[in-house]
Amino acid sequence: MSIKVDSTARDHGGVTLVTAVVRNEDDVDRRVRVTNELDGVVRPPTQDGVAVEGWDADGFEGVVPGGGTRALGYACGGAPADEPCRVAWTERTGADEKGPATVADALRDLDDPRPPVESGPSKRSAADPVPPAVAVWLGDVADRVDTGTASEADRRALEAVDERLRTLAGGP
Amino acid sequence: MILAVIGGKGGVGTSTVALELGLRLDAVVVDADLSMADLPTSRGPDLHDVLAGRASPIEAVREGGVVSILPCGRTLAGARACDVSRLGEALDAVARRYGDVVVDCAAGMRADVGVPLAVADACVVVTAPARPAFADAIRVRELARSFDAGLAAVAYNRADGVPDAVERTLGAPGVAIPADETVQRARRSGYPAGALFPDAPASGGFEALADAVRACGL
Repeated sequence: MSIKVDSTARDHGGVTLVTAVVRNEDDVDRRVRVTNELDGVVRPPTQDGVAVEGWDADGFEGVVPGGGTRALGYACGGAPADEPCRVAWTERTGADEKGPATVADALRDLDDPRPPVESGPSKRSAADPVPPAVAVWLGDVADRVDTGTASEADRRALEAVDERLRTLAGGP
Repeated sequence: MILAVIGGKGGVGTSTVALELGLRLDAVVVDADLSMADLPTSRGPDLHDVLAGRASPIEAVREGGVVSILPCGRTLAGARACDVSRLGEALDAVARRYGDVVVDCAAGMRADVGVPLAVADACVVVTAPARPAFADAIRVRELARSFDAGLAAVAYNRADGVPDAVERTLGAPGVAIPADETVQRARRSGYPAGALFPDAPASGGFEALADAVRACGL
């Protein structure tokens, strides 16, 4: 196949970071689909809270120029493996295949309409709103993540906190 | 049908045109100017609450007035708490329930203009006889084009006629809306001019604009 992918995965404090280089040895541009092979959903790079164009929960889809390369990187909850991602399929690209812009394009490409934080009456709540015990625990976990000594228990605790926050925020 | 009313530049009469079109097209008008809302509001949930996940879009619609309105909150804190990614789904939900929706979009070219354009079937560009206003109208028209929101008509506000260059440049029929102080008087009381002064000169312009939108089969 004219498309090759070199990928590596390494554990970083309970989260697996995957890097990949997709190489197109063909002379023409090719559209490729790279899918995650690890156990867990893809946490893609985001811009203004929206996944960068081409990314979804399973992997990446985009165009690699003829004779060129494309660098990819994402995070994943699953344990590292030798081949964390693979090329699912490739196809030749059309000359002008991009359709009209979408809501995700609007959120990603246009400025955030919310007023800056300084405009609000935030000075009244200048005191740190995080309870001291929680701040200490988070600080300890952050230190362990930085030094690469975070445990499985840390990872599970952070996931539980994340899930609780999403519930409180009314999200999925 | 979702119709986005855009102007690019502030102060050209976008909100007024949205309100008048809402009256004539029997549509719900959504005030999507998150930080500088100016359509009338009342007690109850508003768009800030909808975009913060505290209220459903349907319960925030005020029915019973001459025009049904989904108003927007006035506080900067409320605007900051908004998740703009919910705006497209909110507009779709109102359209599914009520049929037609007119979105009064903010000035500028930020995401609160882009998201309505992404879900809109068509748009109306509001501009006025001043060079800066027209330059911004061209920019926001290009933005609408990128989102595939077809331009139904150009509202040329506070003018007696539409120059050919305006229609040619923007690529849609223009409708002149004459300067009319009854529009200001009506807006001060929270009403569209068409409801209070149906025979006023501007009312004829707004009616012609609504006809131009209807002529697109929307």
